[in-house]
Amino acid sequence: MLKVEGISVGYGAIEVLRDLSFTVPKGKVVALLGGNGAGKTTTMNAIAGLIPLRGGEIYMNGERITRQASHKVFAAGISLVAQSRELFPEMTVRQNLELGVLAQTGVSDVVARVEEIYEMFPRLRERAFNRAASLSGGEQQMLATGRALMARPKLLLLDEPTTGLAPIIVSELQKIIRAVNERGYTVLLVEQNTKMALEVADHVYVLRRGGIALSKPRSEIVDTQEIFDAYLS
Amino acid sequence: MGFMTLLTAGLAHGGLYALVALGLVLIYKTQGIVNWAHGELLMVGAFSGYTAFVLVGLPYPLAFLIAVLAGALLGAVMERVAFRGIVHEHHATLALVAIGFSVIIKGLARIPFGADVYTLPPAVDAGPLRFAGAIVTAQSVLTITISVGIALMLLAIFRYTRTGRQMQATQQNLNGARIVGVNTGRIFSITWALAAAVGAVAGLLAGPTSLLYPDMGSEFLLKGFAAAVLGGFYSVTGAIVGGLLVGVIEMLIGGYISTAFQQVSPFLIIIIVLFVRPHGLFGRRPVERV
Amino acid sequence: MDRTAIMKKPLIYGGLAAALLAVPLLTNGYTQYVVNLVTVYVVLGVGLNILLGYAGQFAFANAAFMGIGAYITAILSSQLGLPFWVCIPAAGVVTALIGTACAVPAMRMASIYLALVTFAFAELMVWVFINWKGVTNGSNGIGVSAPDLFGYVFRGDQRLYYLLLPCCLTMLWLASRILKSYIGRSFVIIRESEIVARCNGIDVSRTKMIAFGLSAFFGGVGGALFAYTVGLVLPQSFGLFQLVIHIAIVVLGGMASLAGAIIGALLLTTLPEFLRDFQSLQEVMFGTALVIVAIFMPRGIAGALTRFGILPREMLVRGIVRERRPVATPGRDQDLEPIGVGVTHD
Repeated sequence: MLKVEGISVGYGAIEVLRDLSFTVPKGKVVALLGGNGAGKTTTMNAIAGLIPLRGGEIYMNGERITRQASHKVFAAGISLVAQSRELFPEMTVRQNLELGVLAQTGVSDVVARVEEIYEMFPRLRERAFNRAASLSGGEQQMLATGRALMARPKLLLLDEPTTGLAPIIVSELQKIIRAVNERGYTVLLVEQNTKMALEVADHVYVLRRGGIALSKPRSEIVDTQEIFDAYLS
Repeated sequence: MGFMTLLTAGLAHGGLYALVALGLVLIYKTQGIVNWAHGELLMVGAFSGYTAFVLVGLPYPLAFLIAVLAGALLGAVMERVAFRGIVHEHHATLALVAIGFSVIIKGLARIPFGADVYTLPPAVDAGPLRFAGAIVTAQSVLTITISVGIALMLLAIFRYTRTGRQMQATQQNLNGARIVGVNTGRIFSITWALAAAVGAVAGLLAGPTSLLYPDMGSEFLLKGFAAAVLGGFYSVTGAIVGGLLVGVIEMLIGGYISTAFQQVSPFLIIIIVLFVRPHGLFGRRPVERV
Repeated sequence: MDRTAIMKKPLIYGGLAAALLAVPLLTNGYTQYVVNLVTVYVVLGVGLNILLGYAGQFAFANAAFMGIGAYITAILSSQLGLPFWVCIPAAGVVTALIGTACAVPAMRMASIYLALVTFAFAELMVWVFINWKGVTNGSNGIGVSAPDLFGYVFRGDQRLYYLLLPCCLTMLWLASRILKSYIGRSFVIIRESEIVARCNGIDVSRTKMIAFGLSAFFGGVGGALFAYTVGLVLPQSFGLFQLVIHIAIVVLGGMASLAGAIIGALLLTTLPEFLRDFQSLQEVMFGTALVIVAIFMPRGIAGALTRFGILPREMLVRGIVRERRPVATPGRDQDLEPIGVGVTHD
């Protein structure tokens, strides 16, 4: 579904991603693991069209989305849930959700979609008319995820959803990712929380210094030590 | 002059300042740019209207439309050509580009119009009205009505239209807007076009009361700043209320204290507001984050 | 150390000094007047650059500082008959005190609010110059008598140059000394992050006051030199257009660069003189130049020259040189939104 071919990204003299390639197959949950500074968030932002590439190509279902503006990437069916959540602080939860689909034309079932999100995250229904700025970290993460799902994307990019969340909410999040995947969404998950990622992922990549250090189906990983070795090698 | 007369005259002037402030606030909220060339957009509106109405002899509504479109186009072009690429640069660089545009536009206006002063006849040709002990010109009534009408229209656009809500989203979180697929470039263009169009309307409405000359914009820019600061620089409602207040304060100072003080009232308002209540009447207190 | 390098340095400086001293031999009255203006604007440009470029305070009050300095000089010299070596420092010191007071709003507000309040202050000062007729003689202005030193009168632009040049060089030397000192480095740190500055034990309020005071001192001295150069101090000289010239000198020349202030002053004093004959066309070309340079050289001419290795990098603190980030940065003034920090790089 998503094919990343040899992309490079840099800020000034610093090269963050070097010739990075990987694929995300349809219907799967793919985890991209790596330590601080490995280039995980940069990869996500590059796919979403938020930062320019220095080289390489990105394809979505065979369609070239390299160097497309972010709204074109969105139209191709990719929704990002940013690590920093990027909510609209002065809007209510409901308005935030509605904006998730506002840029798509010809959507007539906004109310039904909002209802669907509320089913998935009952907490959001309770806080429907509160300002996004007043939500707790876990609620903000739910809202950001829900807002992305409003567009019914073909591919959901989840950037470190566990950042700043209490452990109990992390396990909640695992369930949510599984549920989302069961509804047919393809998920690319970026995580530092290896344990959590291994719980949900079908395939694991380890990113190190802007390149892939390990690529393995989840079923073939017997010992998590293997992952940590790849982090540090 | 009686108090009521001063008050209504102040409201009429204030309506114009409110329109200028609206444009400034819209642009600032969306891109963090202070448009120091906003007064010139007003001047272009006034002179386009003058050309269409007086020189070409078109009917007033058509002239009005032409002026608004001219302003909108100029605003959108300025954003696209200059500001979009440098929006992350220092405020001083942005200010300099805006001032550069202001100088260019004034220079261009001087080529056909020179150093002369022009007058734009009022939109409605009717005698002064008497209203609750005040003498009100028909133009004043029109100005107040149109200003308030435009403000309400903008608020409705923000609340009820798809584009308006995308504009709000872009103002609140640019990256968030990009993530949910908003074409932010389009939003920038629309914002500038809208802000400039509103400024051009102010120019047309100002025509009959103030004279038309290439430098006419700077005075309105100052008062627009005062209005925007009073309203908190982030709030559409604030801009309207701020504008009306600046107009009234200015008239009352002129009527009861002295005209010399009337000239500096916008500066005094800016200084006093920023010292006493920097976030204005409608702004929220800024939060410093680490 | 390389011996030739040691030999070379005084040679270069000596040559430069000789060239600068010889300038009046090549000029007529008018071109010398323009050259004199350049020396004045170098001082003014350095003054604003200290505040805007180094300390990062976006204040618009420099034309007012210049005006205050000019009026003090005019009043002291022509009405009290005081000599220039009293007038110029007095203009600098009084203006510096006023400038320090202007730092008070800077402690409470950031970026554009500071710009607006100082802008209002500047316009208010013009109004004071016009309306405080008893002191400023209103719109008629005050004449300034030519300065003299032990009977030698600096009358005429060529002679005046020999007063302006040492003043300008002294101010430049002073600026470079201050900016390379602890206080100059504190300015830069405050510009980059007030929080970091506080964490490093820098008294932010005090440093801002010093930056404003220093900038105003240069503005006041620049105003004094301006008064001697033009000979007649008029309130209209210190309005918005003056301000635009100052900002243009700093931004086009190059922010946070002394060489930039010199380049900017040279350019913005001489260019408009060439275009003098075409009023409206001059405006159009001047405006276009501002827009184009700001768009294509956002770091100014000095910044561009540094990038191509023509000018050496001016180093106050190692590693402070900022590169433009090719990132989707949310608006600068995001301090109002309580959530969302923008794209983070991991």
